[in-house]
Amino acid sequence: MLDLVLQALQTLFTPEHFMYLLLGVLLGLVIGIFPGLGGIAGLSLLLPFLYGMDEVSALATLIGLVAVIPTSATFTSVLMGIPGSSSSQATVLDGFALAKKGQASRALGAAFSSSLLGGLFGVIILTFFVQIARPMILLFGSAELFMLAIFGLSMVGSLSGKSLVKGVVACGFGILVGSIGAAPATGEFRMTFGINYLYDGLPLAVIALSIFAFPEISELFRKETAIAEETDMGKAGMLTGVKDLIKNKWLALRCAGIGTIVGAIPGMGGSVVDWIAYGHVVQTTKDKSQFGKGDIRGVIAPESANNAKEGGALMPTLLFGIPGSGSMAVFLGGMVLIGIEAGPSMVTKDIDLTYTIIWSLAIANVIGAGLSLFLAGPISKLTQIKFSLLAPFMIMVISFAAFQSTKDMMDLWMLLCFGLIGIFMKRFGWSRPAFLIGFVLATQAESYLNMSVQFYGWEMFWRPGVIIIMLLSLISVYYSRKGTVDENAELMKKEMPTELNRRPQLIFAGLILMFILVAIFDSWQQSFLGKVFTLSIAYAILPFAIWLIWIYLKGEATNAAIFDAEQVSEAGTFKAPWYEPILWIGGLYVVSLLTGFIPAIMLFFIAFFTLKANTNVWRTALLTAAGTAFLMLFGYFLNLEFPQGIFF
Amino acid sequence: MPYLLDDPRVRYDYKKYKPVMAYPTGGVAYVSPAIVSEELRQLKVTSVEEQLEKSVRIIQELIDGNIQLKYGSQGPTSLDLVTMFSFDLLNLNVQAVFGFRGRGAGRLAFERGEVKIDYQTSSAYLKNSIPLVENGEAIPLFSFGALDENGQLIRDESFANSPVGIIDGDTMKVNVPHFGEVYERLGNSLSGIEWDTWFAFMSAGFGGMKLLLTPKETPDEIIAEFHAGISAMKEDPEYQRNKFKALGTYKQVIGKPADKIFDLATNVGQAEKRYMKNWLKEKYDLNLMTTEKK
Repeated sequence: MLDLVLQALQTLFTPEHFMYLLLGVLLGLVIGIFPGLGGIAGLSLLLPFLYGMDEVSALATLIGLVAVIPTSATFTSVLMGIPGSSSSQATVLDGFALAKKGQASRALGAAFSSSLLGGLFGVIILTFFVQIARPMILLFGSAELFMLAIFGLSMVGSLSGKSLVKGVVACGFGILVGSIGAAPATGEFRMTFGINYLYDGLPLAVIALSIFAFPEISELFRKETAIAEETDMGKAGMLTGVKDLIKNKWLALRCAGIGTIVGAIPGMGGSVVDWIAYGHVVQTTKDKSQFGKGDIRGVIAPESANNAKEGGALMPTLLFGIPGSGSMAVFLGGMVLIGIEAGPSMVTKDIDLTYTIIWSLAIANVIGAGLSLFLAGPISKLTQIKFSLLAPFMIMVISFAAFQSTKDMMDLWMLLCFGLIGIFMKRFGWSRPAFLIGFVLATQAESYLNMSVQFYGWEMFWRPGVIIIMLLSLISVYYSRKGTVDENAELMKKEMPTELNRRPQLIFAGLILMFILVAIFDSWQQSFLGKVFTLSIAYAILPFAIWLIWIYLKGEATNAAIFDAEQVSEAGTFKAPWYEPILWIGGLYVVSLLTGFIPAIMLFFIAFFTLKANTNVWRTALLTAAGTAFLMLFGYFLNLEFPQGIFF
Repeated sequence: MPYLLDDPRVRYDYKKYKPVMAYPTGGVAYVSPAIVSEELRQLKVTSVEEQLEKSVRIIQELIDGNIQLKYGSQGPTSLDLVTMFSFDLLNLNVQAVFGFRGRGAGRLAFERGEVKIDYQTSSAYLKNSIPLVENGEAIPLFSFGALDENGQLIRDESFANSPVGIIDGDTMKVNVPHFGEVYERLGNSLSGIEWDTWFAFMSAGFGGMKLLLTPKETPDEIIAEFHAGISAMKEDPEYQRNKFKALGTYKQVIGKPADKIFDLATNVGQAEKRYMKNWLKEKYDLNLMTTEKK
């Protein structure tokens, strides 16, 4: 085995192959920085070059591309609070909080070194286990996969904030939103309200952007400050970040292990791995007070897991030809293009190719993390820019990112709609991670439950794997109640004003209750298999939602569920009313409908800089030109579409 | 399939398109040895007739034992329809479990032992299921066959040189019998509405599976460009070298033959369509009666 391993390394280190690997890595880094763009955009750019390349070069380029996307996706997660990829959502919680404290460079330093460690860990596991992994992967049947989804949901306990009632409702709400679209078992359409767009369900990227990025942007918009409230430490901060990782090396290794395992199980998908790692760090840490407010461990955990995931995900991809994650689906597509078939032969006849892939992954991780670390210092300066100058760019980025989901104008309307929900969730202290975990795991939990009940019946609960995962979930729930992450803890500690005006919260909770009732009503139209899951969830959270409303109506002022960031913040924090960002962004989309996105964003830039940032004509022109040119260049090279208007 | 069944979710109309290139494909249904008796599992075959005999005996055994089989399906209106209808015609007791995303997921469930019967289309069968057959983890039952120039059902040559099993180190390379042979041998006649329905949907689903379409109003010059490109592709030695493994033995055709395949794929007789919808209603409580397009 060893000589094969070394031989693969030797082939890879010939200048030509190495150049291709580097090309893939650079492309992956650039694409990864832009949220919403993943491996598919990169692959489409590489496509014409892949034909006719020799196998090793092509594999190296492909791996270089997909391996570093989760690495560079961290930039926007930390610096702007915009989840850069589906597996760096959890990084936003503490990463962005650190950036706000002026420790962006520290967060990035820790993130990239964790990525490196996690990535290499995944590679090592892959090297030693790829040949014997098949029976292990086959142990995970539909019953185990269902239990794993439940395990993922158990993380909600740690992330639900002070009020568990609200956490449960938020998570259930997420599940119900996640079940919009075709029912996995029957293909019936649920809660689509006759809208074609909803047939396939809401895209994860749109939901993640609207729930996390949108409220942050709108808050900064209203505060009119820079992202960082203090000056960033730059290079020194970055080194602190690396030291943070060394201090928490065991945590990082544990999370890398979690990442590899979750990645290796086909059907789990990469979008929960960061949350499981995040839940793990919260549960195993004694002092939880800083999580959600800028604890460096909250960055290390998801980042070491999401790069390790790729190594794990390669196992099912190579052994069964079934992708273990979104980027692996892209990789598999690329392999087909160059005429390599994934399957059992990858560990027998084509084992040399497998080792080439493994080495490429290792080297790509090193180069990717190294380059990102190098850039972290200078790029962190972004957080010092006055927000009114940065805002239009961020709005451009999230709109563009959301639009890449299905390339339908509805992406933007949904961004706005759920962005509004996100704003209120943040304001009233509803756990956004709980909502998102529910959303991500809804389809998975439902389809595997449906399958395992049909395959095993009640016996599914006696399978050893199921029992083990069930115990893990119980342990996770137990630990989660010992302390939980709450981004608003600081504000809540303040002396409560004698009595908050509870009407806004009450209205919001009432609307959620209405949605639950709509879900129940809608379920009654479906066949048994089509409704049983959604209906159970809706009935399960209904009493909690009613309880919550009762608290708002009659509860004591000290009840943890009662919270309104707007009313407890110091006067003068917000310089604009809450609806102003919505009007701006909504206005941008309305104009896009008429003129198309590019002219609309130009108008938006000009209007925003003149009215909000008060820049002079020349600067406005310069910034507008820069933004538009950037967008068009990107669009041109990656062959991306923008919303088309009626007139243009 | 959803188009042929007037599924209300279908918002496209094939009548607005014309074919540039078309080709058929096939598929093989196979079972897990775990549900086959030791005697049949060890039964060696030397010809396709003997393989046919083996398949028939396996099916008879499953029927006699009233063994319930689970099958991982993408949904009743997907191409799985033909497979599930085939199982039903053979009187196999198969319960479809829906919600699988693609045939790959179905095969994974087969490998895990959750389902005991599965099928793959030709290219996936050649790539991913043959290794299972070689490892003694799957026994092929029947193929969906292929259509000759006159539209008659014949054995699918794509599987002629692939193993159907390895027993005591002997690799048995014979073709897989097609569904019609198995069906007939079990005492059914290849006529009547049941057979006609099977044949109509098999022809549409497999016979006309792969279509490269352009909108009807596409100018002829553009079509000619496409045709030139396709012809050049077929001359390419690399295409010729890799074609079998990627696509099977099926011919990629343009022009008249492509039109014929396109017709096959987009038209099913009224009687057969009605019979199939009725079957779906009875078997899966799926009501597509009212959605017929005018």
